[in-house]
Amino acid sequence: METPRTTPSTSLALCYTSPRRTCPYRRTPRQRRLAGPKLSTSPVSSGRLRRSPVTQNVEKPGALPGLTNKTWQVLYLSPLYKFSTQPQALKQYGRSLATFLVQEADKEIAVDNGCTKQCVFSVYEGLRVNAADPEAIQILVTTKATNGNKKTNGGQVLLTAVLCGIDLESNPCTGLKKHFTYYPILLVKSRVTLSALLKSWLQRHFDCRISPLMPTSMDLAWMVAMWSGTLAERKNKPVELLYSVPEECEGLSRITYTINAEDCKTLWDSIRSKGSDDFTGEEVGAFVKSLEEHFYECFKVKLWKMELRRVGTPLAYIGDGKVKIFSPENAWQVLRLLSELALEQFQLLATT
Amino acid sequence: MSTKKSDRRKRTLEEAVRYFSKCKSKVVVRGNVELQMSLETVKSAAEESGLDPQHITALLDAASSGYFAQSVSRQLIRCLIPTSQVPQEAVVKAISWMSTNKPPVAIQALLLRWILVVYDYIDGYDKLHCLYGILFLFLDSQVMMPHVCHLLFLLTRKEDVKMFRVRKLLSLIKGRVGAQACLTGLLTIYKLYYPNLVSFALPASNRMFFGSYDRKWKSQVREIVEKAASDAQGRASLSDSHNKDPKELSVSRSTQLTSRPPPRKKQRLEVPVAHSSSASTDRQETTDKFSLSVESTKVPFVRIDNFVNLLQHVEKIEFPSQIAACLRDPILQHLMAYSGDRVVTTRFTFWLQHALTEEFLNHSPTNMEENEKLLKMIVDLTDFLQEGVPVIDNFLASFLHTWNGMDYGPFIFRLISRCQMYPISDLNDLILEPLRQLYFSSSVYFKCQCLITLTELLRNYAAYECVRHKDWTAAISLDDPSSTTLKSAPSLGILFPERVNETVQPSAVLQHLTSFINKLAVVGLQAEGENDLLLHVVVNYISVLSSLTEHPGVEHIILPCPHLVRFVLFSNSAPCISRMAAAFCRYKDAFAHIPGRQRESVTAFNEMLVDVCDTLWRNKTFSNPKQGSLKALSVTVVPVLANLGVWQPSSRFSIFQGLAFLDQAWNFFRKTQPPGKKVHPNQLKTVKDAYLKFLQQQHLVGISHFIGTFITRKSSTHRSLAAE
Repeated sequence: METPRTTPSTSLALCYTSPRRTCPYRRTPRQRRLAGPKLSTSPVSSGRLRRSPVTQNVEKPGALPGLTNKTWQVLYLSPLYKFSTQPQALKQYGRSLATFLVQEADKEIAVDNGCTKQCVFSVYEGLRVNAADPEAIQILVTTKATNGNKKTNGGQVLLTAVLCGIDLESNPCTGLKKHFTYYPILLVKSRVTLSALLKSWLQRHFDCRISPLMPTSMDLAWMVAMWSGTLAERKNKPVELLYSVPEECEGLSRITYTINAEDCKTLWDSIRSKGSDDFTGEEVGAFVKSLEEHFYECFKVKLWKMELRRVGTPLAYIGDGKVKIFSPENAWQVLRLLSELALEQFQLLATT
Repeated sequence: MSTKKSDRRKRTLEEAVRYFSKCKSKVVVRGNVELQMSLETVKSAAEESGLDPQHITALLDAASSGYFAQSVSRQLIRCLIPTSQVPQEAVVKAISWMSTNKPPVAIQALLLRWILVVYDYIDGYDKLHCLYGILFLFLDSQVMMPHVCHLLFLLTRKEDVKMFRVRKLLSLIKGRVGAQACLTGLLTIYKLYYPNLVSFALPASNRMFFGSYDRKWKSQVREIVEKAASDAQGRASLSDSHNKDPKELSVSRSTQLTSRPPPRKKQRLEVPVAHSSSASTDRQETTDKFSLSVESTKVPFVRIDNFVNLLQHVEKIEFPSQIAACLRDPILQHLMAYSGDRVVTTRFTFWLQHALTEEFLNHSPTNMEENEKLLKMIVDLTDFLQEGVPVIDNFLASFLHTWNGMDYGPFIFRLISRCQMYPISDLNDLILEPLRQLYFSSSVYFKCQCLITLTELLRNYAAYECVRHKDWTAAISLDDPSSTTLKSAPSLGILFPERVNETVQPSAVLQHLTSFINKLAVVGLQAEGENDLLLHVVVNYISVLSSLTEHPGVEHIILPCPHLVRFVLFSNSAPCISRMAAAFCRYKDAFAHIPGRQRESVTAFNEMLVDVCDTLWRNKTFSNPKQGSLKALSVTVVPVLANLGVWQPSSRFSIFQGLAFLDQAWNFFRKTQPPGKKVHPNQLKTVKDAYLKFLQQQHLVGISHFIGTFITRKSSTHRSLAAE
């Protein structure tokens, strides 16, 4: 009997037969788009998971200050209720979060003007690729300048967070946009306690739920395969795969597999079918399989039986709920895939 | 001034009160006998039966005017015990006197304590509430602060929570007073209303915010009021019962507020507790629902602490900031179901969708107990709604595919039985197929649970989903399809309308589900060698089937498959056979009542009926030449039985000779025949009626009912007579 779950495409299925590797509930799309936001001139083939053409009014992603070369924690969210990007509302959120943070974090009762922390919600420019995307929001928590000198603009940054959603395929709150805003991902960089507080504040204020986004082995395989072909010009980071070894093997907990970026590019070029914007599941399977088989030939270790935990690609370093993006030019590409994963995760139940 | 001697006599209360109210200048206490006497009179009257409202007002005026010495004022205030109610004016007056600063601080504090003591008996709170701002000013007095805090705590409404007040409290806490329990208590209620204004961790302890002052005084007041009330009730029970309700309500209000449970312990799987929604800067419409109420002042949900309250404010309640709190809060469930607000349900759906994905599907489950709690809450919610929630169905569809059949077993089964109605193919793929796989690879207990669940699902479909679907399609065909979806959904009792699928054909789904259960049951019985428990579950299923047409949404009679009937018929369990016989009687009623009966089902039913009659009563099990489905079997079965040496196979399964009834027959003989006498079950045929009666006594009611319904016994009367 045909089950409604789409099984992964054949080569992937062969490659990922181990239960450790696959997340049983997730469907893997047959293909994901590799290239950037194209104008609608690109031919669209039929296929359920094929992305819809991006609308005409595309904003060119600009410089992204403070986004790259930092390790972010990636969280995924359910739609925010009554969230507004009006300046007035953002200002109020800042004030509210500031009092909340001071009281909760420092466990002291503070009067409004005695806050030692300052929170600023602002629209983060340059992360909007598609007109339908929500405006990215940056949340910045800093210590307040104690000497009252406002021109030095405060002190230390305690928390940076970016709410964003890039080039979404579909929106879970279609028809209810008046009440809900959907940001698939939230990037946070701060101490754990502070980010937990931000999380609970957001959950309480916007009736949402937030959890860390943990890409599965399959997702990481997609990333490494898709992005190995893009080489940054100056410093080529090697491609890195980190596998966790099953507990049964004593004395060894993880295997790091590092491959020269140029070698990877060669392999990628030979697998990749030219002239298509989409990267297919077969290609991912073939790419990862050849890497793993190479390892097997050398060390007789079956990597495909293990869980892929972290990947380093020329674009970004992803794993264990964290991401580090290297270059601003390709940041949107990384964020788009993360948004897509978050959406898939969230809609796991909605699309049966 | 009157003489001592005449005043020794009993003075009436009236006079005493008059005395107090006429004093308009400082009164000397020492040697003032009239004062002493009046005070005594008032005291004894108050302690005995309480004071009338007008007396209370007058005495209060006197006590707080400052004309009398402190000791006198103190005694006066102490005896301001109401018979039934305290007029609001008196309380307002007390506060006015306090504001004039004439009475000394100690008396002011005592007045506040008095207000707290009689708070539940004040006949109104609106004017008192107007003085909220004035009362707030008394916080500066250290003596009065605890009482002021308590009174403010009782009076606080959402609109009273202002930033400047929060700041004032904070400055008090920061200042000389320190973080006293009463101040944090007041802040706690502010926080309940506006978490964003008071967004800091308040000490989450169980301790009382407001020390229990004046316990004796309070109990004295309560006793007197109760006594007066019971006296009054004795006098005029009818008129009094009318007055009683509001009083009870007000009691519950003040006590419930003070004893509000402390914030729950933090859990990993935080199902939020209801708290007030944050103040929004803009006044935009937050729901799709058109509000009919002119009054726009919203009542925050935290104010609603019982069902009566809910009913009073139902049109203007503001939902808490986290809807998922309804999993914990039955009152909120009522509100959600009543409002039918699409935005609210969507908020809930989003939360649940995220929670279920994250906790059950994304990683291997880490926290089974918490997850179990969540599932239990969901089960309770669906039980309350009597409606499947689409997100949960989707979750089941995902979850069942990798379910091991054990984790969260009872909850998963319950949720399955609450599933919404889907087209046959979807239902099959999402629910039935995964269950089928588990069914055939699990123990007999799982098989039983599985069949029970599916039977329950069938019943649920018949009882609720069919009707719901019918109404829905009717509504759609009436209105034009574009506009109906939002408006009519709540009126039809559908809270989650997005998944109502018009292409579903309820009768086809029922048919399909029945035939699915039939197959599972037949194969299950074969595999488990007619396990008794499983047999009972199957009979239960048959009897549910027989009563399906009692639900208005079901139009067709659905029969169990003949194999199943035969399994039960030839089983060794008399109770099962009896229950099935009873089910057959219900079928007969169903056929009689349903208007357009179908010919096929009538013939099929008759076939089965003949089989049962032949077997149980007529001793023609395999030998009925004309009717019955067993005729076909006889070709193969009879020779086998003959080879086995079974004598008269056709009567081997009757209620007289059948193995299932052997026990009953033996008991019957033991009761009726002298001990030591040789008996044979064949002899029962001569005392059929007595035997049937006996079976009835043995709780096998179905058998006698069946015989009475389907067998016309011409000869029965004279045969039984002959037996006698």
